[in-house]
Amino acid sequence: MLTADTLTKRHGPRTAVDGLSFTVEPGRVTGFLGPNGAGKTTTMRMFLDLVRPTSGRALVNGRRYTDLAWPAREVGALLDAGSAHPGRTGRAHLRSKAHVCGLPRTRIEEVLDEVGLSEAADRRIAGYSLGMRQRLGVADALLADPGVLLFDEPANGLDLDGVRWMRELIRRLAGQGRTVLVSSHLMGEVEQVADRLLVVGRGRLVADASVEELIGAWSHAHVLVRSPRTEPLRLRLAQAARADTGIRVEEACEGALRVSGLSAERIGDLAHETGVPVHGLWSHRASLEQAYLELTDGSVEYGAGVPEEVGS
Amino acid sequence: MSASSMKEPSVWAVRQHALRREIAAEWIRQSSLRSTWWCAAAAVAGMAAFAGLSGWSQLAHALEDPLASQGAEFAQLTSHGYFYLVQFSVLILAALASTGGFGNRGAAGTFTWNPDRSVVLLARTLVTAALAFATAVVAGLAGTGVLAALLSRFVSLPLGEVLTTVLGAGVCMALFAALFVGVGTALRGTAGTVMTGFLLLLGLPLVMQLSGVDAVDDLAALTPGLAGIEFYAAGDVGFYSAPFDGPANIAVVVGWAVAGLLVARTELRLRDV
Repeated sequence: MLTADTLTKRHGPRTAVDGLSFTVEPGRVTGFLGPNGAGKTTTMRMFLDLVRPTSGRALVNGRRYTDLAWPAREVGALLDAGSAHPGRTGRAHLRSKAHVCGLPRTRIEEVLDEVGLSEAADRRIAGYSLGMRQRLGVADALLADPGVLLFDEPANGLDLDGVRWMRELIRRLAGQGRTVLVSSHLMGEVEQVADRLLVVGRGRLVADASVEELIGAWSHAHVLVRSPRTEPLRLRLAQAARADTGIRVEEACEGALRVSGLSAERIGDLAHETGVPVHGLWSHRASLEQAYLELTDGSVEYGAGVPEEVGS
Repeated sequence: MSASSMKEPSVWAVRQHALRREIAAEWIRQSSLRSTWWCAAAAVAGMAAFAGLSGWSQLAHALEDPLASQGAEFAQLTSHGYFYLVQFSVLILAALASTGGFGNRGAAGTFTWNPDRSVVLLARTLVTAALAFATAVVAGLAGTGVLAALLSRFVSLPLGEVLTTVLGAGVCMALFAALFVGVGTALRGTAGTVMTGFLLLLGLPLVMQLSGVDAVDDLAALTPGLAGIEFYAAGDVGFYSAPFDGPANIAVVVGWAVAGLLVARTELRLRDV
């Protein structure tokens, strides 16, 4: 289990992480989302004692990383695929870690096989593709068979097969009862693997919820309904909205209404009751990406400006 | 999840063997890189070439005047090879060992595997120093061999004297390796470490000697390069005379190495990886 307790990191006047508190439970995948500069990587590095907190505590299984008897046996981390020395072979990289962890050589063969790098293990890392380096980073993280895993942008550089492999691997690791924290900016990926999400913006925790809760609470699924007689339908829907404050009706364009808080089936039924013909009904499900963008709106530290329209 | 399912050993039980395991890991890190062996090979080849040139020059003198060749100093010539060539190979070896991980962000992996900065630093120092010692000894023996091959007709090989110089230089190069592992760890950059090393070993003492001020000239003896050659040449440097002889010189080099490692350890404790 990972515990962040009012974790704060300041670099001079800049606050990278600002009083973060959360726990990451074993047996499920926790996604860690946030825009660039939100403090995700800094937080992960604080769990590993690579970055010292200005205040607060980052605990692994209730203890500081440096107080663990076998830190590398309890925690595996994939922080940066490019961090293995390019002049070394993949096998030598893993042998080095195996010595630190007191592991037998057979374990190296097992993880190489697991990540599909057995045949490339004796090649220098400089000749690896980004995806192969990412796989080597996963092998490094899994080498000591740790109960806690930190993956920082694990899908980076992987092709479609690799992304699917990574997704299945992460699900399987959590299914084995491990604590898995995955940071990613690929919303679709996180949506598919995470059971729970931690969203950070400007170093602060913005949301801590399941994917469904987050989409439901922070984004607006809606139905677009087209009719040649929108006015009587709007009045009927407004009547329903008075009874349920979760229903919102607005004009999308001429001849179309945007309705949130009601299913397409219910809108169809209401139109039928009112005697209004319906020419089209489109259910628009909100995505995690929309929820994320709404949540982190204003937290983007290094965003591009909105280009002015040509000729305006 | 073997780690979580096995009976957890105490922190003390694990850390008792941490240094031994870290040394084994560091040996793999360094020995698996071609650059390590290029540095060692450059030192040996450089010394052999230097000995060849010096020996050739001595041989020319000996052929002109066999009596004058009796003055040929194996140990002195070998010590010049260490001063002008081998110590810079050791500098680069130590700079690469200590800064490579910071350059390619591999240091994060190293300190994740073992968060005890002191153990990692000590293991890196011991492995680099051992490599520097072995390189210096092999280079010295190679240089002596070349000299002996060229001059054996005129001069008998003073084996004891040569071995004293070679082993003394080995110790000194090991201490230089420790010093520059410390400097590299503190600076975290190869270029800065090599530049600092070059200044400490050659540039600074040269400028101090050229100052013309006696006190400054004497202070040059406290720089690691000159103190080192004064030690392994046993006071017979040839181009330089230190204000003090004997163990004081190796004490100066030890002082530099300890200072470098203390700065590195402090920097590792205070600065994030």
